[in-house]
Amino acid sequence: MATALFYLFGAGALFSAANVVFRRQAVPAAIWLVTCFFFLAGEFLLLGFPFLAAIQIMVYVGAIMVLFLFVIMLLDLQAHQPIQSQFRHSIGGALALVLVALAFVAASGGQALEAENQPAAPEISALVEALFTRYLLPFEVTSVVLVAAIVGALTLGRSPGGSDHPAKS
Amino acid sequence: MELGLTANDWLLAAPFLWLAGAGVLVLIWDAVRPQPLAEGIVSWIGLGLAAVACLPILEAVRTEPVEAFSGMLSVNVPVIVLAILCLGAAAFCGIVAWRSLLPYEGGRHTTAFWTLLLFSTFGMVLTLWANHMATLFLGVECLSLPLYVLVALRRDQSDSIEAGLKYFLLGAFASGFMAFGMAMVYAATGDMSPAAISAAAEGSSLGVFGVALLLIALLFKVAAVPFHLWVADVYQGAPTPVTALMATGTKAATVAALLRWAPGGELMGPQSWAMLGCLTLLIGNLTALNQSNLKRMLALSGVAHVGILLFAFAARAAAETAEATSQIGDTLGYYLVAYGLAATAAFGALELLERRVGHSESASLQGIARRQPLLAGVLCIALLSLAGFPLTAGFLAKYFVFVEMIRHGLSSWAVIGILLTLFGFAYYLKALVTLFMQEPPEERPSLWRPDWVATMALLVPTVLSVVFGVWPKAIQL
Amino acid sequence: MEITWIRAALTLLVGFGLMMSLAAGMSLVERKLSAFIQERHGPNRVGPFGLLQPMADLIKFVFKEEYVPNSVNPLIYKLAPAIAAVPAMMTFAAIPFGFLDGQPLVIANINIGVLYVLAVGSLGIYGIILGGWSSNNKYSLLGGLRASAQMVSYEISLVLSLVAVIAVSGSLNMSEVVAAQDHHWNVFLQPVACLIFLVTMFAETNRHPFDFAECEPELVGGFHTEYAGMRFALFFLGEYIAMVVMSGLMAALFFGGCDVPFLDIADTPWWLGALAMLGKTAFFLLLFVWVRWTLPRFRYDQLMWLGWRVLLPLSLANLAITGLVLALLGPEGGHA
Repeated sequence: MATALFYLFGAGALFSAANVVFRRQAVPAAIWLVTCFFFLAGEFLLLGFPFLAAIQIMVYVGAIMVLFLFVIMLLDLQAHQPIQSQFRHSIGGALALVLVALAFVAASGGQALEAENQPAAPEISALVEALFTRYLLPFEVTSVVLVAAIVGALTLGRSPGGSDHPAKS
Repeated sequence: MELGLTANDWLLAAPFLWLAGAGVLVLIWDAVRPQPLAEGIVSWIGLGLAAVACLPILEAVRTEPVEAFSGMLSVNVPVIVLAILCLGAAAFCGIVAWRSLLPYEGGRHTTAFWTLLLFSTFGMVLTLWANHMATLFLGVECLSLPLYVLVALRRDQSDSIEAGLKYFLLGAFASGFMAFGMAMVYAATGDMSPAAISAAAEGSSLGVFGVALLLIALLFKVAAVPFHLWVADVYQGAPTPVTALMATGTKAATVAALLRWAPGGELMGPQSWAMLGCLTLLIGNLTALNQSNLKRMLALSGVAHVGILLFAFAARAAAETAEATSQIGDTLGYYLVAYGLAATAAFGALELLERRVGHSESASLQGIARRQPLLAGVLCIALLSLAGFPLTAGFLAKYFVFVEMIRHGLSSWAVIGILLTLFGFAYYLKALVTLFMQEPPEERPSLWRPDWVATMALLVPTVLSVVFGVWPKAIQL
Repeated sequence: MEITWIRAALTLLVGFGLMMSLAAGMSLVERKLSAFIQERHGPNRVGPFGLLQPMADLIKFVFKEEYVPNSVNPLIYKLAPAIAAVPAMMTFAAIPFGFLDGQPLVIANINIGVLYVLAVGSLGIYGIILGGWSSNNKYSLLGGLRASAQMVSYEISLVLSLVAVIAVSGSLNMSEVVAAQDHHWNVFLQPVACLIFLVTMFAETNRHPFDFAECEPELVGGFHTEYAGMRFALFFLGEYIAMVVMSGLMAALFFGGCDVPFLDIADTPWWLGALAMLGKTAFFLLLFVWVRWTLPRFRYDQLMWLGWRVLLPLSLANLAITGLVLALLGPEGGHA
């Protein structure tokens, strides 16, 4: 049952991901991405990581994709046209896909890829403890990366040539 | 639950704390009272203190490598020297940018520039020292994210924006490869330390695929053929001080990371590394030969240098003893320092000349040596060091790499490498001929003087290039 | 085994019925209370004192024409009301109504209940955004955009205020958070968090004074301008259920849930506990209506100012101080 569901969710995630790529309109593509995240959360749940599933939905679906939709809609106000794509780009994409698939088959030697390392689902307290002891440095550095990203986004987001200053809004 | 930090943790955390602290301080300073000079001084002090904080670590690692944060960081002598190089490159970038990039658009990007510069340097040092995939990924991200923005900072110039966009899209793609590869390696081995790479490369197909993805991502970041296509456009479009930082700091950090995280002989033997290096060297040289823009030429010559660095990887793959491996590590470190110093000086001098003529097309730099002898001299020494002319650090660096190759039984590849290097002299000499021997275009004489602070700063890497070229031991202090 | 199944089925039935009747009742109470505040009569024709008004509304909604305007995106247009209502209903499952034989009276006793509520609760916004976008109407789109910006901004403070509560309680399980509040409610331990939650609760449900998604004077009806009939009703059902859930969360996380003052939770009869929880929930539901007719709507820039410049720093400071105090108290800090 769980295995069947696992493959079902996996297929669903793949189908949604393919739809994200092939939809011509931005909003439906974003919605398919949301669906994809849901299937992934389902996979996490089946693997015994409800915490990860909840975080996946909360962060990606509940926050990030909402902002994506927000931005897409803001842009849609000006231009309501489907994404254009060119035939030669499709060829390049298809070629890359085939190459990666070939590499994958060559690497796997035709066998199913199997993870040899399947850790048991940790308690949240164990997760937190690892985060603040062994993984303390990466955990703290993440904040530096995020601040850098925010500063960068603000810098690029300012209207060019103007003299606005974010501290004096 | 024990939260205590050991003495080693604090020792290795100190440079990061100075850098991040200075970055945050600049941000707060801007929020309270924007003051460009103070922000610059805070940043320079932060970079300086971080470099000073590296010195006790250097003392500590003389005997054996030091680990900290339960194996998240691990340092030896070369990576600390390279960290100091990155810090120096960042400080230099700030000095050169002071008169050109910072007053841009009424100086309203000052805070962003300093913060991003500091955070990017933070990422470089982290990438150099990372001994765990989590730290490596964060280091590479922390290095790249600010650079994407710094590259696109001149927003009224379409090539700057184009460069930023290209770098961002391709870099984000490479980051995806890296994260995916790490996940696969972890799934295959249950380990995220560098040891996992060789375990995964020998083990299941899942691990091999993961290692391959990680390798692709790192080769993209170091700009090895066939992942070098972004280099010319990005280096050319970026503001030149930022290009100098990328050529020195980013290259040093990512090549050192590649050294730590590349699979050894199990997956890629000496022959494949040498082949990759040869291809990179050849294509880098061929494309650099035909450039009419000096910045573009230098960018592609950087690709050729990556080719020689990959030759050192071939030697490492052939090396059998741990001692030989560590010696090749030192060689790589020396090469990166030599290249970094020369590239810094070259791009710095180019930036100052660009201010004179408006752009970096070699046609308009004809005979500039008559008008700006000092800058042209600096550029000359830098180009000679990049080419590998004797008495410069660049010559010894190449010499050491080829010696290592011959020592580990790769003589035929070494010969090919030497021939290709000699072939590379062509475009460096072409540039020198343009600068020194051609007639300057007719123009009215002007009283233009280069920014003397930046010019003085330029002398530091130039002099060091010569000093290290004559007395290589000096690099180990 | 069998008894637990029966019990689970019963909890589910009763819980679902309770939720729906609370939501339906709210539609009446809101109008009655509005009328009381504005000194008019309110609905009083259907049944005694207008008590059957929700039934009449329902019949009206069901028999209205299912009209789909031209040039909308039909699939998303039809899906949006369901997306708005279903997550709100799902979150109700994790709200505990007391203890029976030491077992929590809750539809789903999830180990990470608080996270579950936050995760699923954050989905309701999709109904509003997609409804606004698919209607192909600029007022609707503006309503959807405003709602998304507002809810994302306030969700951060909401989550941070709850993190402080979790830190004090030492558990992510809602029933354990309630049990930990025996005799000392979180509102006394975390007054600032409670205040932040109170404010964000209004913003997250798009209620006055934060109802920018509808905002009649400017946006006609906001995101639901183009909706009618049962689809329109589903949007409102979603909003009312979200109010019920938020009130339930407030009661359970800050006001002791089923804890009756001066009684041990273990000694409280289950029906008294459930009644206490119900009473607390009802109080906050009434507060929603009360505030609606007391405070004027914010300006949009004031809304953003409040969210980012006041609530966010406040909740961060609260979290930092909570963490500091807990660290100073040692591992035995908080409720434990």
